Amino acid sequence: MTTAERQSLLSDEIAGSQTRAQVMSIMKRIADEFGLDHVTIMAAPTPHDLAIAPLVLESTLPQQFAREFDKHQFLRHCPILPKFANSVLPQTWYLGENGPSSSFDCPDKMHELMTRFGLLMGTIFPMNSVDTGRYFLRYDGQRAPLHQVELNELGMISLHAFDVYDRMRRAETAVPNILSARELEVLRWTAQGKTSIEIGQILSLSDHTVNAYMTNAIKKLDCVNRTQLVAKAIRLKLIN
Amino acid sequence: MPLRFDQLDHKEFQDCTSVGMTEHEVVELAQAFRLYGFWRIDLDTGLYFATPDVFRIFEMDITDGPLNLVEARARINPEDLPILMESFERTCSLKQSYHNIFRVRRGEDGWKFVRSVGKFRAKAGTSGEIVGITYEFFERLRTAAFSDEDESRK
Repeated sequence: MTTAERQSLLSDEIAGSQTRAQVMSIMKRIADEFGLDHVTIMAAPTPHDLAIAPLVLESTLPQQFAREFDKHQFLRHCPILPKFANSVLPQTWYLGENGPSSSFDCPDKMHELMTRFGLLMGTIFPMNSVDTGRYFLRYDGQRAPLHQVELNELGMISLHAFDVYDRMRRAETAVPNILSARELEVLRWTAQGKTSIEIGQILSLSDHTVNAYMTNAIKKLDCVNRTQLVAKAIRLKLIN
Repeated sequence: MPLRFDQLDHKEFQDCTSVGMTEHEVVELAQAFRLYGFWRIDLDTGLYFATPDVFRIFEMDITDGPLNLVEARARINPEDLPILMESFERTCSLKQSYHNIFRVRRGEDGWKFVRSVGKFRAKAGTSGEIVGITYEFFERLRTAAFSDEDESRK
């Protein structure tokens, strides 16, 4: 398959995605196509961030890696991040086999951790959302460094994937404003297994009022009943 | 990676009574060696009623009332949650059956695979119900000698 054919095929699949999970599933396939092992979408860290886990939106990296990474606050020692302060170009790295080097200068423990999880090389594509947020699309693996041609192709596919993903993310984060605070409150109690009468007692409302809030919420989220409303609210992370 | 199938493979119905077994015995045998829970969701109220093994699978305290979906949600792998919720949404709107395999937290650090099969059931005068079963995907011996459960939660 030529580069153009592969790019076209993957782009068609990305465009057909309906959910963020589907986008991530295709992105994992993209990583596989390029001989990479992991893909991560995360908010770009600021100089004040100490941990990577709260920034991650999606990732195939093992949770244990993030836990150990954050336990030692390695984000502060990452030699790649400072490069993004003055550039929007993708950044790549290669750990090397003999410990920290001039091209990847980091604490020995950080090198050991990344080696242990097979994260010997990687690349980060900085992405800008139309809502002005800055994000990273990161790939990790243990193959030889990416060639320029591969980097170009992966960059274009990643840009397309992020665009689709980010559109879904923005659509979902816009939803909470649709429901009023009271509707969200009633919805939350319903998800916790309370009946309208019980919710009314908790919130000092009549069950008719509770039902009215629920009916409004059902209409606003384009649902047909309370079960669908609860499921959709959980999926959209409206209920904490 | 979670899996979802929107329709069940409708196999020939096997009538247990044709070989002299009761439905009670089928349930007894199905839950003999693994956590095997039954549940029903009332679509109009959004309430999720479940048998004790569903609570045990989610490692939640067993209650007589509806299951707390907010608490259960926190036990489901975040990567699998969207597709699982979509299954409920589709079943509600399309009145169909579905089949999911997803991950539920085991203790604080681990995950276990769980299978959930549900189907829409009409109920006169209401929007209907979804009924289903949820069980641990991989068997584990449910005997005192091998059980890792807290005895007080049995």
